[in-house]
Amino acid sequence: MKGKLSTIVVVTVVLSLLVAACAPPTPEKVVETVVVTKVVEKEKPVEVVVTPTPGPEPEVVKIGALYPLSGAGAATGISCRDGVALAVEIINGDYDFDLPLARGKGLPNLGNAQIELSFADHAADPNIGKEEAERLITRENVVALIGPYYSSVADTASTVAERYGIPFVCPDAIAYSLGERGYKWFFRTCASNKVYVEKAYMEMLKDINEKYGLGLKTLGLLNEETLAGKMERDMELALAPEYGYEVVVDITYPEKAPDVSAEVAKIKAANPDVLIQLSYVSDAILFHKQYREQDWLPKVFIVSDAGHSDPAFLEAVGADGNFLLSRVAWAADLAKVKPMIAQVNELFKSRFGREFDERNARSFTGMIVLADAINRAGSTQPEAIRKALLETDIPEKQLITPWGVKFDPATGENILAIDVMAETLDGKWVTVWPFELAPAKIVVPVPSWEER
Amino acid sequence: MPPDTALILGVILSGLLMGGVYALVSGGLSLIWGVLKVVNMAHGSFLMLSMYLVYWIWRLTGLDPLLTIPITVALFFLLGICVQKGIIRHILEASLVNQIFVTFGMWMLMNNLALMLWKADFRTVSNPLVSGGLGIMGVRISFPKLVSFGFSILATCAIWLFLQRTKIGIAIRAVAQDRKAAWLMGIDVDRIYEVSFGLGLATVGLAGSLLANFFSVYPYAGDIFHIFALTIVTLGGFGSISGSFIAGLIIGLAEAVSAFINPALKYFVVFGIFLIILLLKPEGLREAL
Amino acid sequence: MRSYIRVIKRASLRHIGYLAFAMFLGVYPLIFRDPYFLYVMINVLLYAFLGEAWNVIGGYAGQCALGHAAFFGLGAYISSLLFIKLGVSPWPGMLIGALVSGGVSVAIGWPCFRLRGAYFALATIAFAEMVRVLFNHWEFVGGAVGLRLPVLGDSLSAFQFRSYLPYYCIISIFFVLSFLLVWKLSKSKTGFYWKAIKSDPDAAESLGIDTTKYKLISMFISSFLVSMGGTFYSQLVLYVDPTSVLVRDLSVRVALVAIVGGMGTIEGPVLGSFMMILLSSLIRARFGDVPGLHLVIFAIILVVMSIYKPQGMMAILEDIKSWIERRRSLGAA
Repeated sequence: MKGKLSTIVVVTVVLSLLVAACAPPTPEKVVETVVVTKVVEKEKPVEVVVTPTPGPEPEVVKIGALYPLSGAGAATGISCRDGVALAVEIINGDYDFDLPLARGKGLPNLGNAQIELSFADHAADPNIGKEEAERLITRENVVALIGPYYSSVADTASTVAERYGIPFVCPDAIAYSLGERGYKWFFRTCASNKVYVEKAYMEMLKDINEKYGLGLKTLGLLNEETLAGKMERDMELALAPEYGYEVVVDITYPEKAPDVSAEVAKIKAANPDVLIQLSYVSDAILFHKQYREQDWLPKVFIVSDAGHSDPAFLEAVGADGNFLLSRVAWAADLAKVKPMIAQVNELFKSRFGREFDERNARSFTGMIVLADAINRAGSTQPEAIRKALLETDIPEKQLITPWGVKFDPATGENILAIDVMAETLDGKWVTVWPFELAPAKIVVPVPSWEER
Repeated sequence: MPPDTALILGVILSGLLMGGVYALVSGGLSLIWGVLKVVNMAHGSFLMLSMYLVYWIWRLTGLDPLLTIPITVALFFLLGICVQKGIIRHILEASLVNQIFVTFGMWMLMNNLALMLWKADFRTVSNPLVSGGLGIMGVRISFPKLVSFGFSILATCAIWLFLQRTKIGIAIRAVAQDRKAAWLMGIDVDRIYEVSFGLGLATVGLAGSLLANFFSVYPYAGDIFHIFALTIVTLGGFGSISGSFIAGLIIGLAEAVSAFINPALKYFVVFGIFLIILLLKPEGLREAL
Repeated sequence: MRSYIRVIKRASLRHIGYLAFAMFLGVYPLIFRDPYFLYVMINVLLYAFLGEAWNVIGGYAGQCALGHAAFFGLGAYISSLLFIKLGVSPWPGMLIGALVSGGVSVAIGWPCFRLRGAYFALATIAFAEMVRVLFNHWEFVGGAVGLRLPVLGDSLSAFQFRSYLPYYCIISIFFVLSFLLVWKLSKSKTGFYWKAIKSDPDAAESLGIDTTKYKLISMFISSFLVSMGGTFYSQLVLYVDPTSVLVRDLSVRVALVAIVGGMGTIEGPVLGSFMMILLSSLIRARFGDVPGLHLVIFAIILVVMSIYKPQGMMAILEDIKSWIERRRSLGAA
């Protein structure tokens, strides 16, 4: 009897799988398939499924936002999410700001339709990111995706968006490889690490050397061992010889380490003129305490926004955190020229109890850009939104970031995204470069611990 | 002293001091493991809780972390008794796998509850009493680490003396050796379990007060200490307080020296050393209590 | 023909359960056609497959191995590297990766098996961490950036498909095969020796059973299968990096799936996977916008279950089964 039973079970399984395999594909979504030829030859064209949205203009425009709301990147993820949420609130409401779509409720070209955000937590896992992207697109029927801060998730999630023909606006993931995939539906508003290492760091160092004659020759690289850290390090290593620097110490360390005294000792021993550091918040604070304990500082200290731009860093180290240079997409002091910045910041403070910083300012801007495109498209049809995104040309004056937005049709990158550099002076980030535009004067070299 | 030697000495010293801190966190775990025979996967989360407690006390009253020590030690001792009575009691006889199952669930619960309640932001105590470094003959020593190390040694010695000299301490060791025999001898085993778990968490409370001086507090702050604690306790031989202290020093030193040579691979080296020692001496460095 | 019908009439609940599940596998994609639902179920089946693999060493041979992410990662990386650098199809790549993983597991198992219980568990954790740190730093495998597999659309030889349906079928087949394998093994002499080793290793040794040999066999099979799962994952997500395939979390998840379901049972991992993976996906879909809430809910369920029903879901099912059979016999009497 056992034998017969087993046979029955096995036969059932085989039949079931045959049935499953022959199941017709999902009916609703597939209407037209458009084969797209790519810039990148290695990859075969990804078939794009275009889905027309039937019926009159909707009263609600659904947008999916993917961010890490738990796990490793939760602190930043939640902060970015708040940025996006505030943007939507401003768009939906009637605010007297000099910001696109702030005045008047909702999206005027869509009958004042309101934007509804659908948030998803990807917990920094590319697999979950992919799953949530599927869910947002096929179950929540979002017309566009925004996010996800993590470059690894950006890759898998935007591939899903590319397959469905849904615009994916990325305001905050910096891996330059994302722009090299030849995707049609991927748009990035912020600067990739390739851009900012060269156009911001290296150029600024060049200017400093020319203007202040500090004779900066040696470079120290300190990066956490993550995707962001590694990419930045690769960029720095590649560009250093071009700009005439010798890399005397190159450290990648495992993040969230309990102790970094040995790493700092190593840096101190090499004593580079310039230190470029990329660390997440807790490590940034730890390192800074070590610099104090071991009594060492470089002549020029560049920090990549990741951890140092988080307000928690300055809160923790106080005046010790002065004289750090970082690329910024957010500069509160530019409010003198753009009063709208202060207004938006006040609103953010009253809503979320904290001020804007590097990261959420970018996310906020991404949302504004996306909404502006949907508005100009005058429809929620993905192809229309995509066309509108390609036509985006928002001058810097109208945004809270120090750059405007205009996309390169071949890569989806924002060609205007060149960050400015700010320095922490008196506990505040103050724009100091490019020298011609900056309201404040850069302070270099970094004063030693005794001098402070 | 030539600068390079001073630097290297500084690194070694720092590693040893840090090792003392690790040892403090591990001591409690070792005690729990040795007496209750329970592998507590939530140990790191309790450390995180203690750090949050210290932070909030500081935020609301301005009390320096060091001064919170009596509070955290007492509170966590009581907490330990409650947790033992409420949850741990049920899994004392369970298999290793089940204990991991339960305490892992607790780890997940505590970490994410902290995330929900206090958000993911990194909190730091600014301007604690102990901060900065001292220079002795050119060798830099971290003041917070030195103080923490001091407390760690004190606490370890205190626990050791407690276990060796006091009646309850001897009873604890008896239960650790042979639970049934101890019971037959009239020892109130349940009470011993409560005291032991309480003591285990009390050390974590102390560690929290010390670590808040130089660490940021966030929901996952305890995790890295936890993995180190597991390694140290296994290396030292579970149940042995002196063993975990020595193992703590070894791991701290290994971390510092390998970081100096190649920071990216420091965990590779630390875990490698751990594996090698374990394979050479499977019961750990020292015998149990 | 009639004998077959008789067989079905007299089948035990367990076998009816198998039949029902087999039919469910086939019917699911017909009912839930959305790619999202298919994707969720693919993950569920993947973890059921991994859970079966873990059960071989954890549930049957009784060794609590918490470092299986190392083999998952090895499988993912090896097949991906072979494909990207040498154009080798992931199918043979999967086999190669599995053999390498098996070999490595035996190499690491042999010295580690003299460690008992928690010591062994910690040794496996340490080993997996070492592999992760290594891969995170190794330029050749992409370091922290990882590997990106080129998107090629539908290609059987490249183990890639535009629709999720083929993936679903493949992982279903993997799972069923692992299920049958574990079933056969549990009834075989090897399975018998495993049970002996699990309940009392010293007694087994004294009876002349070469405990080390059989532990190694279980380790090899376990890591071989897990490695296959790694290759499947890399073809599904098309992105491999240390944080997604080599982390401690993954090792624990694989073990938990088997433990929650019921260790040492063939059906356990299925239940465990449904409970853990499916449930967590659903909770995250519903509560994911409040940071941490979905994990808190999940953790509470886990803690409660682990205290009151530590034998896992199978124990709950056994309770239900005995209840049903009691009613049946009462009815018949």
